[in-house]
Amino acid sequence: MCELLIFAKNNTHLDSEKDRRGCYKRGMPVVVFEDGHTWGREESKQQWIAEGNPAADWPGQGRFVLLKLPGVPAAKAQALLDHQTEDDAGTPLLNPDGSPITFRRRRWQLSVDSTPLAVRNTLDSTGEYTTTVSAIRNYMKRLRDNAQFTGLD
Amino acid sequence: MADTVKTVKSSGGDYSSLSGWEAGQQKVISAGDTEQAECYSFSDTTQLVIDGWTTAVDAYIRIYTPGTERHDGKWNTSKYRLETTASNSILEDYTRIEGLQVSINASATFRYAVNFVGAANNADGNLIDGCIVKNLSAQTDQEGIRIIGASVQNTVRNCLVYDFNTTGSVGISASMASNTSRMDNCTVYNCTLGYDTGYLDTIIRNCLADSCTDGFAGVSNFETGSSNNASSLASDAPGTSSRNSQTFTFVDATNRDLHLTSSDAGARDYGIDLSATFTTDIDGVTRSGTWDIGADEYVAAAGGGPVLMPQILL
Repeated sequence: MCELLIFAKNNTHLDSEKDRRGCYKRGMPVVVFEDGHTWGREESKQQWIAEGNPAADWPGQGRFVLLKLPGVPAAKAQALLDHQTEDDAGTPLLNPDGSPITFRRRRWQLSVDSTPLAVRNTLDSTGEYTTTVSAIRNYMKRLRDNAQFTGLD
Repeated sequence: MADTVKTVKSSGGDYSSLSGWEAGQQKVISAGDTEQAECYSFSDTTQLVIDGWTTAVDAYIRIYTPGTERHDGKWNTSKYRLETTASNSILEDYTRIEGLQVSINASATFRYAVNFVGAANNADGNLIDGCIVKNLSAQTDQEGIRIIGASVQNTVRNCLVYDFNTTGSVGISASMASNTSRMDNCTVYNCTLGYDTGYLDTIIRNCLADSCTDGFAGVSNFETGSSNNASSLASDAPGTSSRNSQTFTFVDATNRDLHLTSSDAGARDYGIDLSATFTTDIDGVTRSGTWDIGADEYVAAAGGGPVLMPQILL
């Protein structure tokens, strides 16, 4: 089982290149850890509550949600953290030394707003949602062309 | 004015990784404010990229270890470590990184433990101070601390960088035209190229290179004002009052404890006083007397008082 920290809002920057390349957008995975990871209180609403804080005051509300995927090793989900190093036409972007150039922070994104209302309500109220690969497959998309992520299969 | 300090800990913190902190705090920093990450002891394995922020000289990012969590000048597995397989990149101006340990174990060529990406991508006015940076990769063309970009001025200070020793690898580099960066009081050990600059713009002072294939690459490219550097190689260290063909005596070079010993005659008391800019060394100890070359300022071990002999009463 792995747990994914997902960014839940759209950060923006006045510089359009920085906005595209550097800003986190809604649904982008931030980090992934194995099951049982101890999240920070600003990452996990349940951690915040467990430390005796009022749920209504969670500073991560609207900023983060956690997606829990039983049976999926964190190594399999690691690819969800890849930067998009190709343009939107799919052409790889490379520095003269051959190292990749980041076009976007992430190549993949959870289409949060396309998930069923019940899922969104659970994420909103508890800050996390436990699901399966088959249930999430349709909502994990490549940003440039909406292709499905199959790396969890 | 407000300093926002968030803790990064394996448990009980605001965030459980520096990467999570960067995402959660990414913002336009208001004038007079700072965004700070205070890192506690654990191995943080997620790649760090700082991008998409708005910073200024009086609105900066600071990533640091508090005193109790800071390394002691030698790699310490009970302190905070950023241990990644991908390059850690800073694309923002005015980012300060203080007292961290960073290692890279890349599976590809051209990867950088700490990469300040300048020019059109900014990354100007940054400081990396008191950090230990090491390489674990067998890939070619790895770099410890890299400042890339024209017309930027970043500062590398009191840093210890070692084992970037594969083909094309570099300890600390600054390249591109008008890159007026500073390298002060650093130690580079066992690297293919110790320090490298491609243009006549970087000033390097009090820096030490030992057991490198080429300690100071492109010697003639270091800017006027460079001085008091030292190398184990002949005809290597640039600038005035620099020392070549030196033998340095470290506490335990094999295990990368590169503190100077009391018997060192290569770097001790051969530095220039830079106290107008900073006053401490990699351990956070205040430099005193005639400065030493390199990241460490030799300080005699704290002694007890005079030895009192037992009195025998007859």
